[in-house]
Amino acid sequence: MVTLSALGAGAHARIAALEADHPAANRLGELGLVEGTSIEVIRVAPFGDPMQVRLRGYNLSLRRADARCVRVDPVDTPDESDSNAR
Amino acid sequence: MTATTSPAVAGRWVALFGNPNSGKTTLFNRLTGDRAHTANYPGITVERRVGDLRGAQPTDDPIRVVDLPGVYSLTPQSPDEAVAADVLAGRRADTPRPDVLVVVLDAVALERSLFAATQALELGVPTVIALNRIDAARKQGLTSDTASLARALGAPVVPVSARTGEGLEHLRAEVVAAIDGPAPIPPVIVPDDLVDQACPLPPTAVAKLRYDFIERVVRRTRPDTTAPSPSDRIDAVLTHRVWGLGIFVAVMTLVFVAIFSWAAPLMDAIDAAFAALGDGIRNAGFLGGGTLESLVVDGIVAGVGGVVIFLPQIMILFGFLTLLEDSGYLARAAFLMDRILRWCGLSGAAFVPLMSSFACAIPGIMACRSIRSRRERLLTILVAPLMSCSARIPVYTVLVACFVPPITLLGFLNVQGLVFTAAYLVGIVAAIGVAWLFRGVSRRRDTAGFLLELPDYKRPSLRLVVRRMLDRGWSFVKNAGTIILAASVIIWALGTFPGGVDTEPAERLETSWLGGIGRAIEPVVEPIGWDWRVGVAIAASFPARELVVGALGVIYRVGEDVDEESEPLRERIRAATWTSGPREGQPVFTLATALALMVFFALCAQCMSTLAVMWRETGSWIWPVVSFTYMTALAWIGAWLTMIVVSALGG
Repeated sequence: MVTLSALGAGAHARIAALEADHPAANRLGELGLVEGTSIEVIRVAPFGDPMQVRLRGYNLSLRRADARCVRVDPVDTPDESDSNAR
Repeated sequence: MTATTSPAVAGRWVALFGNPNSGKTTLFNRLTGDRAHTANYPGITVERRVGDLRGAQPTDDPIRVVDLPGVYSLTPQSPDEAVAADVLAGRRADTPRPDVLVVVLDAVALERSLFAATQALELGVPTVIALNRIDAARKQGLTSDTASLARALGAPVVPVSARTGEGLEHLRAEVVAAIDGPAPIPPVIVPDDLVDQACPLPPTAVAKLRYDFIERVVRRTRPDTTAPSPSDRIDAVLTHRVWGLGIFVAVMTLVFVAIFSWAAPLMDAIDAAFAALGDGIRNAGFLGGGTLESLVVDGIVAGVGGVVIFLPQIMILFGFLTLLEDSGYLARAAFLMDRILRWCGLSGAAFVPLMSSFACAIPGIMACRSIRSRRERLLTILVAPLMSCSARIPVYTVLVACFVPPITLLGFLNVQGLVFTAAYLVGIVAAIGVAWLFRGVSRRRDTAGFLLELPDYKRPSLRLVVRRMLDRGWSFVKNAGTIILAASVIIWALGTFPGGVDTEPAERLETSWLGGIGRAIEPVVEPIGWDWRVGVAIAASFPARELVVGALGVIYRVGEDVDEESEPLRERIRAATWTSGPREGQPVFTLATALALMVFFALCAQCMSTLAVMWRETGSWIWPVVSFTYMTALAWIGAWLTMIVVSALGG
């Protein structure tokens, strides 16, 4: 299973699940990273971490260690994803 | 969380609730005018802003507005978020449960801001929803059908722009109308068949249901558009791996130069003004030239001067900090620097406070307020004083000039400059080590510092900048200032008595209680190779490191008004010898013991203003005590190691 942390800049994905026992999972859920959400990796910070993602019309910076609890299904083009990632 | 109920909580209360960066504070300033009162919640470093609703119909009771800390949900993950949850639950004595809740939504990030909003609607408090940043949303084509949004949420929705003032009259009217009105009927988020008291749903599952509801509402009330925000184009440059870092270095250099150099003439002027005031009082002679005059001039006037002197740096730093934060750049700076600071348990948010501490730890520690995670805020406050501040420069200067030969290695390496740089590095290396050791300050993992919203860029509000500068300056004078002044008077007394002001200065210091402390610590400093006079100078420099230069001047009988450029002082320090004991006749200061003293002053906590600010900012005397203890121990060990190593190398 692919996690958000493995995606590079420009990748689009749909969130498959949050690993509920990860310490960041509850907060990520509250911030809108729930099953079915479309998410785009905008860029990775110059020193390799954290990453900037865009979902639900806003930008979030999160560390790869936290992104690891977000399981995703990569989507080839933004058109295939639903319109969540405005 | 125990405070007694006071008349201050009388009246009707309106609470502003919403995400961080939702424009809540700008809206608060609009609603209350410029008469708001900023303070900390008792016992914690969370800012509490309260003001009276402006332009409301006069009623029997004033309508007070409280700006709750920004939250992403009602399940708190930091002390700030806990305050918001506690106020809404009526669990805080200082702020009653509000009569009306104004839920501030960010119209641009509508889905995310509806998460906490739908939780707030379930509290049973009369609610008005302010759909803020409506102007920015419109520009991006994100229009909303407010009537159907209001129907879906069960509460009135008012589109507003706190920035332009649009919709504020309407909002004010709705707020006044909602007082004593009915509570909203909250939408059903978790279907009845999923509610099971015995086995509650996990929070992530509830979050999913909540966002399912939010998506249904938003899709129904706003057309589907995907207009990219202008921020994305700015980000492409400002967070670029080459341009972004270059601009970052330039911005940080500007901030640092401003607090380091621009503040200097103002600080010199303040210094001169207070010196002139002291001289004026002395020359006027109406206090009689005795103890009272000394108390007023050397204790009180010098103490007040010692407080006011910090204002230029504090206000300049907070001016820049507010500009950076309000424009959205501060979050990008944290994004860029996070990786570098992470491996000692900090995050990118600690960068600006730590950098500022190279000018002065006081504004640096105050700047830690922008760090959202309490654990990280404490850790940053603990290590900030290890950054070599400008007060160390006179100490380094005098010791380098005395003992480091002005030679050049390999044609370009100035040895004096190298030693100076090494003193700065000692502090940085120590800070990294200490941060690493203290990283478990709180055991609970706290993600608030690491999940960082990158808000849309906007033009910063100059009004807010000026307001924040004045607020922070006043807050420093009022809170830390009183402690610093009291401590100045106590230190003056310790350094003056029992000899009294008529005694010759060197004898007065040596026989004073402070001198007694210095002599008492001789056994502690002796292993490093320092005599009791160094002990007295260290004791006398407790209020501020740079005082050690003047104290050495007094002890070596060069006079009180010496500075680091004073040639007689340098000669006396070089010539000082042990006056008793096994080393009688040997010089006190060698290269080894002088470098040890530099390392001591790089690492010690000899700055009562820093400790006072730490006390105020953490709301507890424990942290200044911890800092003083660990820094003094570290300084002693560092000085001892330096002496051993330099001696072994033939220093």
